[in-house]
This record gives sequence, structure tokens and C-alpha cells, in this order.
Amino acid sequence: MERARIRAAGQTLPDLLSRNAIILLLFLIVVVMFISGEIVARGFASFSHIGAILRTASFLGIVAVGQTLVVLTGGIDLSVGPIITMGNVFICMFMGGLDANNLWSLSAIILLGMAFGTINGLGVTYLRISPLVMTLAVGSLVTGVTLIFSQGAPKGLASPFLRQMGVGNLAGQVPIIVVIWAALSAVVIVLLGGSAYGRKLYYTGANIKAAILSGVRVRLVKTVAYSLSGAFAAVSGALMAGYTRTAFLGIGDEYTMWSIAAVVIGGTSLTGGKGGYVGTIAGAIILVLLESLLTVMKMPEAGRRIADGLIILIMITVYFRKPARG
Amino acid sequence: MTERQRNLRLFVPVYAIFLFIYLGACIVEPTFFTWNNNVNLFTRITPLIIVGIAQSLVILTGGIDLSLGASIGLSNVIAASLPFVDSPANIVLWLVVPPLVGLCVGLVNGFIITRGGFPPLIVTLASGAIWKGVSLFILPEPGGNISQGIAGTVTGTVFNFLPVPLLIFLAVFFLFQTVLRRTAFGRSVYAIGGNETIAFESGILVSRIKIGVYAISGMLGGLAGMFLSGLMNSGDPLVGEPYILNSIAVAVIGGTSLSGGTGGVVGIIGGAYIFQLLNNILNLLAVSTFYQYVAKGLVLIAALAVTSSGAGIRLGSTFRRPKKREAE
Amino acid sequence: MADQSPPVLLEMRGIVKSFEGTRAVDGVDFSCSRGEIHSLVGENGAGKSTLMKVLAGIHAPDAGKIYLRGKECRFGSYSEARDARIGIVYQELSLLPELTVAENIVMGAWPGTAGGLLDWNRARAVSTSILKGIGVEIDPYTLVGSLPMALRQMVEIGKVLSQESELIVFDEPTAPLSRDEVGILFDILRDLKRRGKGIIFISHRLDEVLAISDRITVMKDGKLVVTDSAASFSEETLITAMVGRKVSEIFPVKSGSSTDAQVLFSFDGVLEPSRTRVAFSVRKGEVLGFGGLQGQGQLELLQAIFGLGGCESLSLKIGGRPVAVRNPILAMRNGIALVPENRNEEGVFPILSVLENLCASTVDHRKRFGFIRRAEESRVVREMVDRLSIRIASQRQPARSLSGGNMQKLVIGKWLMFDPRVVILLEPTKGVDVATKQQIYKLIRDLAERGVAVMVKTSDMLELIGVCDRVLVMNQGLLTGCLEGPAITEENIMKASVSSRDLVGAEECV
Repeated sequence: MERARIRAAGQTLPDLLSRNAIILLLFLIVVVMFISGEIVARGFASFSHIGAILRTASFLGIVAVGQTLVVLTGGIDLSVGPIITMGNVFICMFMGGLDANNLWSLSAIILLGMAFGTINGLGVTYLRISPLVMTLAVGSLVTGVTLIFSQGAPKGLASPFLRQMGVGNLAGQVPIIVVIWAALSAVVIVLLGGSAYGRKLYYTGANIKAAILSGVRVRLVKTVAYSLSGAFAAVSGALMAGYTRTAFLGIGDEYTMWSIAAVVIGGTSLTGGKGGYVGTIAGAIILVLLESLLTVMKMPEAGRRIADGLIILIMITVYFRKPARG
Repeated sequence: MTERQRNLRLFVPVYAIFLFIYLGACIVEPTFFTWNNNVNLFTRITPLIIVGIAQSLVILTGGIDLSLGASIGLSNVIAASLPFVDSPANIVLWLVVPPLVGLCVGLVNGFIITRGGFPPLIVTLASGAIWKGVSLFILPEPGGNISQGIAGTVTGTVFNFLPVPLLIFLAVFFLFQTVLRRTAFGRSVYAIGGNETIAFESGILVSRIKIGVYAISGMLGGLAGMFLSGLMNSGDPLVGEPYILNSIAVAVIGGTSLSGGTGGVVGIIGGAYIFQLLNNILNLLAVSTFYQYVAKGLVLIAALAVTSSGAGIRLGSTFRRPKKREAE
Repeated sequence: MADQSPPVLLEMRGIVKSFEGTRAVDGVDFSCSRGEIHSLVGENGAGKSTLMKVLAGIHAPDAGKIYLRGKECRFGSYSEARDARIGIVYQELSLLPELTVAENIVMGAWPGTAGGLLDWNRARAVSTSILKGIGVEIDPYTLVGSLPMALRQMVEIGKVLSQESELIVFDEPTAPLSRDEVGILFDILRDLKRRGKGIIFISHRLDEVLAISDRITVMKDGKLVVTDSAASFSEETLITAMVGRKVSEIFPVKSGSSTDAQVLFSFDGVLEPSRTRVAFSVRKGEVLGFGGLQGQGQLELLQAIFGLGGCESLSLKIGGRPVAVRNPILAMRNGIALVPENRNEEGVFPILSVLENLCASTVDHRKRFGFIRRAEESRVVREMVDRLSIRIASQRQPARSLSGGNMQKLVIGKWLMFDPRVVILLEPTKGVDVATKQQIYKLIRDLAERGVAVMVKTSDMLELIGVCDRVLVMNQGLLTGCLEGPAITEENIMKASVSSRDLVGAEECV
């Protein structure tokens, strides 16, 4: 009886179901895209190609972890692109192609990413600067730092270990990086869903004033989120070096928008408090698949860029619905 | 407090800082004060002021335009790809088409944002990506053709001493200052930024004005792109990219608050100067351009730290609350 | 202005409006004529606001008709109502603080010159003349945000008049006003009445209602109780009509707490903007209320206890031990809880589930290695839901699907889970239906009896009188009234609200 009355209000249980339904739908789209690709070009859905897609998606997926956390707090991180580039350039510089440098260079990269992320967090929480502009400004800072230390010409090489991470396969078939991503995803999903921090993240994003008034340490929660975002972006950039062997300036540029796109497609709300990483995973795969599909359909480079933007617009029509006024 | 008092409090600091930096630069480096250097400054400042005004307008309504870079780039490459080079027809086209292109980009943004009720951040981000792609399609590498007369005119002078860029940015500035202060459109922009619901309930046609604001922003981006094509005598699809951040920086330093409803273009000239001067000084001191990125970031953070509203949590309020905006 | 226009401006017949199965408005008739001041009274949750929201086009009625000037009307939005010459002056004003007085008044109907530019001279003239018409002079270039509350209200009235409203609804306009300012407002209302406007006046202050109205309508539990000329009512008959049940039925029996009961909590601090010192204590078993006009320092005082600032040199003692509360987290660490006034913005997480809402203040209580113990969480939530009788279908349903009363229970439940030693409640039954109100009153009484220091701030006079054992009245940041037991009457409270005698340290106030 209660159930009927509440369902008549049109909100509760359907709301819950729709979250899982969305995720199911997204993975369905992935399957459909693979099938379409196979129709256009044989071998698209082959094991090795799926592996290649997932490999590319891993780099995006790792960055998107941090972006998901930040968006869940109601913010946004536009500095991930520059931080990826930084991670990419510095890891090569630090490693110099030697395995001996593995431990400290990777640690240094993570710390650097966290440092910049923390600057973002502090600016947003203590200086009360809008995340949009704060992260843009820090992004500029990071770009400058990267340029200064590389003098505009990145040197150095990824170590053999890193190379293995980037291009190697487990059991000959499954890319190592995908395994890393999968493990990371599992950890993130469990933490978001079941840890106290994860729960506080949602409180902060859902209603920050109420969160503060309920005793949630909102500043800490947000700063940690931005910090982690920086760390994940830096790590992803480092792993990319494993794939490309040397560093490239500007390698991270597109990832800012792509990470946001993956998060949005995955159903996480930009106003915070709603969504999660599972959707982002699907979002990342869909984006990479789209690129691949368009390549296979022989769409030129510019067309692919256009498609990226279009898909964001399409997805927000699906998720956001507010009546126009006036 | 009257409006006048509030405005003074808002804009005087910007100009004070600007004068401080300017005079400081002149003292440290006397060549700074030469006519040539100033003309050079005018030239560099003009696109900054134009996009700063564009972004201010959008931010005043509580939105943001991340597609400005793409509007500039698109209009820039189209300006460099027009037919009939070196003929009067080309010049006419050059004057008319790029701003129109920007206008269309802005109109599309505006429609999507208002009809769908989507967050401006995401829409303009996506739109920017799309139009950037189109620009790369039209002109994959910097190049293109600009009529001969144009480059000379754009960087030249009128009546033998008034630099054209100075005229342009003063014209744009005064035009929009008037619009914001003395037209219904302008006042409605402030109202919408203050509280969209109240503005709507007072009879303001919110959607129409928002579309207008994004359209103007796009058009100004087109104007900037057009100017840049004349300045560089060629087209470059990515020429607009730095202006995304720059326009926001100039708007914020110039006194416009990101939450909307307060600020204006009065401070834009001051803000643009501060921004550009810092770059200029770094150049004069022979500091590598790499540091400019760092400087840009730090200056922006400093400006924001100072201007961001730092009101603590207050229970209850005597004014109806505006809708929550994302990324704030 | 010709008298061909029918005298009856508004007629509402048989209005019904339900939310989630509860009838907020149940078959109510209401009318208002030109040149009439018709007041609407009732307790919190009686349905007055909902009825007015239906009139203003904010809610569509489930049943019933609205007639304006004899013609049937259906409003889909406030804009349509406004176009039909209906204006509402809310307690939370519809003004833009960053804009000037003149702009706020002419907004939407900007006066223009031929050239398309705004005619600032006209705007200024319109603003000045409208305000003069209601007896006020304000520099049109003043920023509204810098005006005191009373003047802001004048500007709001000016705005409504500039939109040529014929029917004006005033929703609790006198709450933040002093007696003198109320007098000025009433002069304005009488003048509007003379000009032929129809005025609907909603207020909790019965003496004012009796003074200004031509007709009074009483609502209770969503239904119309009685509509009659003001002259036929007295305060007692109004209260009886509003409450309609014995006081003992709504409010639980008060404790006869005496002055030798143990002191649980004491406060001694200097309130910030007014720089006045206030000191008081809360004893075991008593519910301490805070009354007086709105904005006299009660909020600053209470929020300071929760660590939100507003007080300097604050000295708090809980159970005799001094405690420091520089921020909410420290306050909570000392066992202090605050139930805020605006639950949607400050207390509830509308998009999160019932479970997540109830656990918001106690997440760290059920951690193991950083992870939440699900089974235990679910159990305590179930217990709380039962204890508070919250009507839900599932713990996972989003909080926004609950009724106002149930949402308020979520906020209270969140704090009950926290097991506090001090509880502050701000407007605890605002927008709550009558049945839930009674449950909340019982909860408050239980808390006090169990030895929690309970402080309540409310603008509902009946609630203040019915729930609290002791009432502290504040005016201009000063403690001007300490009433206990039978001395808690509306008259005494109102008298203290305008007194300037500082009672800090006085015998009756310790």
C-alpha cells in the first residue's frame, strides 16, 4: 500500500532501478558498437582488437577515476590534461630508460600529481575559488612547470619495466595495463560504495551545506578528491610513456575533455552526489570504441573530433532534463 | 550603499593595480614607456579585451563560455580561406563573414543551453571541441591567405597617429559599457545572474537574453579571430586556444564574479592590461616564455583568491536562493 | 477606476491539493473583494501557504476553481498569475540585492527612450513616486542589499505595485518588524485598501490580525474552519478555532522543572553585530525556548553554540565542564546537535536515500578499517525509522520522495542517532503536517526528560507557549524577557519583545 502510493508519486523505486538500467544500457551500447564494427570491418570484434581497444581505454579509465571523484563532489578538474603530460614527460626524464630508477621515479610522479591536485583542492576549499577556474589556472601552472623542466624538448626514456606495463600482455593475450585498470576499478568501486570516505564524498556532492551541518569534513573530502585526481592523472601519463617509450608534450591535452566525457556518459551528475565509477568505465570504453569505429569507417581526423563533442551533447540530452523558461 | 559607491569599490582597485604595475615597469625599464611599446601593447591587448568582454557578459548571467577559443579559431581560419584574395570583395567578406560565423556558433550554444536546460560548462566544452574539429578540417596547418591591405590596416594608424587597435578596443568597450548600463538587455543580464527565478517571475525573457548573450560572445570571438588573422597575416586553427583561459582571467581580474550578477566590463581594460603587462614584463626581462604559463596560473589564482566571495555558512537568509550551479 | 468593476475580486471554490496522499488543502473556499483586507490564519501545517501557492499558480489544484473578476482562471505559473494582476510579498523577498532600488521596482517593465536605451530618469521617477505613494523615501540608486529589512519590504511592496497588482498577498510580513515598523506597514495596507486593492494577509500574530483585518478565515488541518468578519472574533475564539483541540492534546505535559534541577548547559558570550552580552543556562528536564521578533540575535546565539560563529568571547559549559566550539565538528565532538530551519537546503540530502540521510552524522560510528558495517547500519536505520514512525517503503528510497513531515523526521533522526547531549531546534515544525507536529513535540519532551539540554527557537507563538518550560525573549541582541511556567503568555512575550531592559544577570534569568 505504501509502495503503491509512493510509486504513484513517480519517484522512488523506479529511480533506483533506472541507475542500474542506465549502466546496463551503456554496456549494451558497447556490445552493439563492437558488433557494428565487426560488420563494417572483419576483425573488429576479434580478441586482439578488443584488447587494443581496452588498452587504450585503460589510460582514459585511470584518469577518469580521479575525474569521477571530483565530479561527485560537485566540482570539475580541468588540470588533468596538463598533469598527464607532466607525468609523461617527467617519468621519462627520471627513468632515463633504466629499471633501477623504477621505484623512486614512479613514486615521485605520484607525489607530484598529488601535490598539484592538493593545490587544486586547497584553492577550491580554503580560498573558495570555483573549481572551473582554479583547475584551469593550476593546469597552466603545470604546463609551465613541465615546459621549464624539459626546456621544451622532452628527453629520456621509459624503463623496460614500464614498457612491459604499457605494451606487454599477460598470458600472451590480455594487456597488462588492462589488468591494472581492472584491479584499480575493483578497488575504486568497492571504496566508493562501502567506505566511510566514499559515503562522505556523496554527502558533500549531494548537499554541501547539509554535509557541513552534519559534521562531514567537507574540506578534507574535497581536497583528497582533487589530490587523488592529480595522482591518477600523473600515473596515467607515466603509463602512457610505457606505451610510447618517449615523452610527448601535449600528450594529455585531449584527455581533459575525454575524462569529463567519460564521466558524463557514465551517468554521473555534474552537480554532484549522484553516479559512480561503473558508469565511467562504460563511458571510457564507448569513447575509445567511437574513435575506433570512426577510423574504421574512414572518417577523417577532424570528423572524429567533432564526433567526440557531439556525443557529449547527445548524452546530456539523455541525462539532464530541465524545462526551458521564458 | 549606492550603486556608484559599489562600482567604485569594485573597479578602482583593478585600475590602481594596473597603474602600479605599469609605472613600476616604466621605472624598471625605461624603454617601456616608448610610443612603440605602447602601440605594441594596444595590439596585443585588443583581442584580450574583446574576449574578456565576451566572457564577462556570459559570466554575468551565471554561465561560462568555453567555446570562445573555438569561435576564434574557426573564424580565423575562415577569414584566411575566403575567396577573391587581394580584391575589394575579399575585404568585404573578411569584414562580414568571421563575426557572422562566431555569431552562429554562439547562437547554437545559446539554443542548446536554454532549450535543453543543460549546464553551460558542458555544452560550451563540447561545442568548443566540435568547432575546433571543424577548424582543423578547414585548415589542418596554419596557412591561408589574407588580402594585402588588411594586415597593414589592422596594425596601422588612422590620421597618422591613432593606432587602429586602440580604436577597435575602445569602440567595443564603450559599446558594451553602454549596453550593460543603459539597455534593458544589459540590466536583464544582471538580473538573470542575480537570481534567474526572480528575473523570470518579474517578466524578463530569460531564454531570449541568454541566447543573445552567447550569440554576442560567439560574435566577439569571431571579431577577435578576424583581427588576429589580419595581425598574423594568416590563419591558424588553434590560435584561439589560449584565449579560453585568458578570457576568464581577464574577466575575473576585471571584477566580474563567477557566480554571476556582479561585475561588468569597466574593469576589463584594467584587467587585460594587468594580464598582458605581466607577460610583457617577463619578455622584457628576457624570461623564457615557459614561465609565462606559470605566471598566468599564479596571477589568476591570486586574483581569484582576492575576489572570490568568502562568506561562511549562514543559516537561513532573507533573500530567495538562486538555483545551485555546477562546478561552483 | 470606474465602479463598473465587480467588487468581488477573487473567489476560490472547493480547492483541493494533495501531496503524496496527504491533503494539504481539503475543499477550501476563499474570497477577497476590492478594498478588503482578508486575513488567513492557522497553525503551521494548516494549509495556508499551500492555498496561496495554488492561487499564485505555483501548484495546480487537484480540484476546485478559481475566479478572478468573475472569470474562471487557471494559472500555470507565477508569471501568469502576475499577468493577471496578482502579487505576492513573501517573507523571503523577491528582490535582487545586487541591483538598485529603482531597478528592482521596474524590473521586467524597463522604461525606454526612443533610441532603445533605458530611460533612467523615468525609472528613478517611477521608483520615487511609487515609494512616496506608500510613504517612504529611498534613494533610487541605493543597492537593495544594503537596506535594512523593513525598507527592503517597502521596496518589495513597491515592486508589486509597479506591476499594477490588484490582489496582493502578504505572507508573514510582520515577523521581522518592530511595533513602529508594523504601524507604518499597516498605514500602507490601509492606503492600499483605500485605493481599491484586495489584500490577503497571513500572519501568526493574532493581535495584529485582529487590528488590521476586515474579514478573517481560519484554517485547520487543510480544512476551512470559519470565515467571518474580524469584529466577530477575539483572540481566544481565534485560538480555539485554529487549534480546535485541547492544548493538552497537542502538547505533551510540561515538566514542573524547578530551579534546583541540575544545570546541564550554560552559555555566556558577546553576540557579534550587536556587541551585547547574553548569559543563560539550561536545566535538566526543561525545554528552553527563544522568542522575540525575528532577527534580534536568537539565530546568531544558537548558531554560535554549534560552532558557526556570530559570538566573541564565548564561554560554554556542558555538565559544568567548559567546552570550545570553533566549528561544527568540534561542537559535535562535545555532543551538540543542530536541527536547522531550512531542511531542504541545510538538513536533508534530497537525492540521497533515507538510509544515507539518517546516517549522515554518524558514518564514522560504524566503521571497520574504513569500511561501513552494512548490516549494523541497516539495523540501526530500521530501528530509528520505527521509533520515529517514518513512513517509507524502503530504506533506499530517495529522501525527496518523502513528505515534509517525514523529511523533518529524517533530520531529527539523524541527530538522535548521534546521541547528543545538547540539541538545538530551529523552527522544528515549519512546513510540517499537524500529525507529525505532535510527534515532534513528544520527541522534544522525551529528550528533555532524558537529560538532554534542549533549546528551541520558533516564530510560532502557540508552539513557543505550548512546548517550552521557559522562554527567553530577545530584542536588539539583549535578553529582555525570562518567562517561566504560567508567565509564558503571548502578551508577556510581546511586551518583552519590545523592551530594552537587559535582564542578563537578573534573578529570574539565571
